[in-house]
Amino acid sequence: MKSVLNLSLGVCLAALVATPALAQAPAPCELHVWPAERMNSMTTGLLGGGLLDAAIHANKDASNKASLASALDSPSQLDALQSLDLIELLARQPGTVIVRHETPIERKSMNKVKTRRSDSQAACYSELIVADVFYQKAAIYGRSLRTLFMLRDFGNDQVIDREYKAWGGNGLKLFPPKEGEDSTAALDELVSVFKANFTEYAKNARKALNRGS
Amino acid sequence: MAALGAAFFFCQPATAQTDTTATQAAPQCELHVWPSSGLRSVYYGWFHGGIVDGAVNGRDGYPPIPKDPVSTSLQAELLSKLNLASILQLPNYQVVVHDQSLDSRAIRAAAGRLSTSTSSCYAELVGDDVFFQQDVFSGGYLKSLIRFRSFGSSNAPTRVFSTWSRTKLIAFPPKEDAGNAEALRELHAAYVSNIESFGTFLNKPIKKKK
Repeated sequence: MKSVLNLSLGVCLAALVATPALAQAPAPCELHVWPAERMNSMTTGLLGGGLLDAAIHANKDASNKASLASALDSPSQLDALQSLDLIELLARQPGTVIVRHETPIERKSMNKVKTRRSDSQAACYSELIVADVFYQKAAIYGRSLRTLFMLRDFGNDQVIDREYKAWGGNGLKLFPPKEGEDSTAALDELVSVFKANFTEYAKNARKALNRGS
Repeated sequence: MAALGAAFFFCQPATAQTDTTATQAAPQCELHVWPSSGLRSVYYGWFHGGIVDGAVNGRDGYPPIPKDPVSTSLQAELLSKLNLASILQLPNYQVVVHDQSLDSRAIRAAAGRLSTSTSSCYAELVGDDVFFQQDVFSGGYLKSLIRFRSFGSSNAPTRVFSTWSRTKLIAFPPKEDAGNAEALRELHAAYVSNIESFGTFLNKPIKKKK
């Protein structure tokens, strides 16, 4: 009986010691990620833009938009970002939990809302929002895919502590595909360049946020 | 009665065995076909139009369109009515139309077959996306992104081909409810036309690089 009592006492003491340690373990930080809902294509010829240029290339630009919307639909944007080491690239705390949001944020409310875009009450909270996906073809500079990203750090409240919004952009070699020809590689290129754009953005974000802190 | 029952029981495997032997003698080629998920939309306007699926989701400033006008089940029905083996120039292929669409991830990331078929002569036709594309200058089109993979007897594709095909729309989207039926007829005909165009693109001789 005594040994049982001793054992019980030992277990209780161990639990008392262990409980505060568990309680002290900080909850993981959260990085919430949203895809873009706005995608644009702009082709300019030797006229250098303007209404006539827009009219000439409208059909091609509308067609490019469909390709962007298909290759970079919401799950594909999120998959592309999650295939990268977001925690390392955005200098988040180790163990940060990535939370995917499959439905894009309404583009017009992007800059207006200054509080958290999710219901999370996490004490360490940040948001990565893909704001725009933009294909551009210029007569001299060639074809490129540009992506606008926004990172917002909230800390433990509803107030933005630090924010960095900027474009990442890289050239395209295969996109857009010609009608009737195999488009597999051209559509895959959009995803790989989207990732390259994010890597470029993240590098600049780390620098900018370090300067600010 | 018991003897009859026993005789029936033992006859079943024999019949099944005969069928298997017959199948082995003449391998049946299979073309598995999947419809896409419902209609999506892109729009090119004067000063706006970048929101993907703006029309489909009824957003302000985007042309209203009927709800789910070319659903997955309707696509499966249209596909079932087509002679796909002839359109894709795959004679002697047995066509298997699946009634559910595939997740875009599954379509794009799949290295092997998308069905459980072990046919020694196997191909896939997958509807990836179907868009209503409209711009203020040239009007509306139905665009389909279709993917084809042929495997032969292998588990990895021996040929992969995907492309867009499109058909001009005049009546869709309907301006009034009265024009709804005609607009939908046109849209469904355009869906079929896109499949037929894809068959032409698939079998077009590959251009040699200069």
